[in-house]
Amino acid sequence: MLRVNNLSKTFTIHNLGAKEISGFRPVSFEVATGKTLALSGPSGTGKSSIIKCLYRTYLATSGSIEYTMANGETVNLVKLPDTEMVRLRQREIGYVTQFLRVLPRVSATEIVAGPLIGTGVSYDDAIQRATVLLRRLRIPDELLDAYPVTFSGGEQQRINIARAIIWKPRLLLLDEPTASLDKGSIEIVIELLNELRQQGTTMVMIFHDPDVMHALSDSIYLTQTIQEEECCECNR
Amino acid sequence: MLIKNPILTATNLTKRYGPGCAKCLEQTGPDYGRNQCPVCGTVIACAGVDLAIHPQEVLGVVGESGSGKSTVIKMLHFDIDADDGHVGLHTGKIETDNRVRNQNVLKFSSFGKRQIRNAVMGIVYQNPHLGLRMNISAGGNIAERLLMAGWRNVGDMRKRSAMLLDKTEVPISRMDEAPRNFSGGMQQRVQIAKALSNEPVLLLLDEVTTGLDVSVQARVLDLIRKLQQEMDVATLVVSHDLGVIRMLTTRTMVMKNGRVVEAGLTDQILEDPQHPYTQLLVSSALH
Ligand SMILES: Nc1ncnc2c1ncn2[C@@H]1O[C@H](COP(=O)(O)OP(=O)(O)OP(=O)(O)O)[C@@H](O)[C@H]1O
Ligand SMILES: [Mg+2]
Ligand SMILES: [Zn+2]
Repeated sequence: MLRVNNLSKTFTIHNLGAKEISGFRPVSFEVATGKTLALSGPSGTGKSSIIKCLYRTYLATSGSIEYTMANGETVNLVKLPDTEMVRLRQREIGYVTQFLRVLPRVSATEIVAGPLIGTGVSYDDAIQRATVLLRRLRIPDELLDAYPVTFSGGEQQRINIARAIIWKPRLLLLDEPTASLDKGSIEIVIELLNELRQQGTTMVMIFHDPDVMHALSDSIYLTQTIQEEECCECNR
Repeated sequence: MLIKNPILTATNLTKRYGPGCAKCLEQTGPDYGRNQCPVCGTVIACAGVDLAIHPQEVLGVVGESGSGKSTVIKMLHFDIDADDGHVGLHTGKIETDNRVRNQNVLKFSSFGKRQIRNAVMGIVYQNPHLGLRMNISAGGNIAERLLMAGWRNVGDMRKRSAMLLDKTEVPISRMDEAPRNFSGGMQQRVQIAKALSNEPVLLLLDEVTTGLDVSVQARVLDLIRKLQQEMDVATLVVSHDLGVIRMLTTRTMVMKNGRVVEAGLTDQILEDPQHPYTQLLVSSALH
């Protein structure tokens, strides 16, 4: 479903005299439909940057990302027109990090239900499903209708994860979404993500905790340290 | 959800103020850091701007003061005439769509343009004086717009005005008061109610929150986001404020000296800007 060929990223910082900073060494890997791949490697090897290239938050400098869509057509995510990429993000590709982009004055259930609304699911139904999911993640009932701006880091992360999985994306990109969760919560997240796997979601993930990584991944791709001369202060 | 076909496609939008000469285009733009032709003095407010707006999407235009953002929006709303360019509409709403299809609506008569504007567009200006008549009541401002869109029944118009003011969080009790008495945030909300009154397919927002207090700004933005989702209206957001762009848009175009220097998904523009100007804009907004 996903074939990454010689993908590389170099940042050109124009304000520093067109200084070039390497994001990661060229990577190539494949993930079959329904399989999960973990990116693993020392800090600074560009794991997050690779994931951001897959989601097109970063523009890759060279190489290709061949993605086979639900309709069977294969496209190159590096070159896909913006509006097509937006469509894929709405219909097929999800992305979750450790940071919740909190929207002011939107309740927890509404944030989680958001991706479902507009996909043919009714508002009430979407809220209902969000409620069930948040309860599974042990979000206390009194927080369901509250605004997550004031929530703890761990609560916000659970809201974030719920929002990412509620719509069952075909391809889910995960960048350390459990970074500040306690053991109990992590176990629930693993359970939920494994359910998603069983239902056929393909995943590319970064998890620092080896136990979590092994519990969720079919295979592991090792990212490598950028060579001395390419090395940089950037630690994305 | 984005649908493949854009509702509006604009190519080569160009507006100049001055006599113009053969050097105007090649001697201006971001490479020179100016929009005024050194040969003939003409100001190239914008040139060669291409854009497409898809149903239900929010497209942003960001750039420094004088970069040509308002010029683009005003040409799309037919407030000013373009010197060059093509605008095609595929809204599926205007009865006259057959006549509109594949036509350059910039070339329509002012009557034709007014019809299109009344049927499918809504606009909110930075300056409420441009969008509202300050001496007639808030309800009257909206009713006036409904009249232009073909409404006739006074009772119905009043009901709809009240509904819209309620939606935009303007107390209905103040419906009969003139906006001149309102706060800046309230005036913007009346403008928004007015812009939405004809159920536009395309909503144009020019610096809607500029000049408002930060807390008022946040509330107006919340309101816009809520209404945008509820009404599924395609929206063009023009702002020099990256915070506004980040909060409201999915795609963004960056303008400088009358030209588009970069366009992309909004998160990409913010996290991996390509053009030197965008990099400067993003880094100065973050620090
Ligand atoms: N009527 C006019 N006559 C002459 N020059 C004009 C006229 N209207 C606009 N301009 C010039 O065109 C350029 C673009 O103006 P525009 O209002 O589109 O900028 P903007 O990007 O909206 O800026 P701001 O962020 O300050 O609103 C500016 O240099 C402006 O001075
Ligand atoms: Mg302006
Ligand atoms: Zn000239």
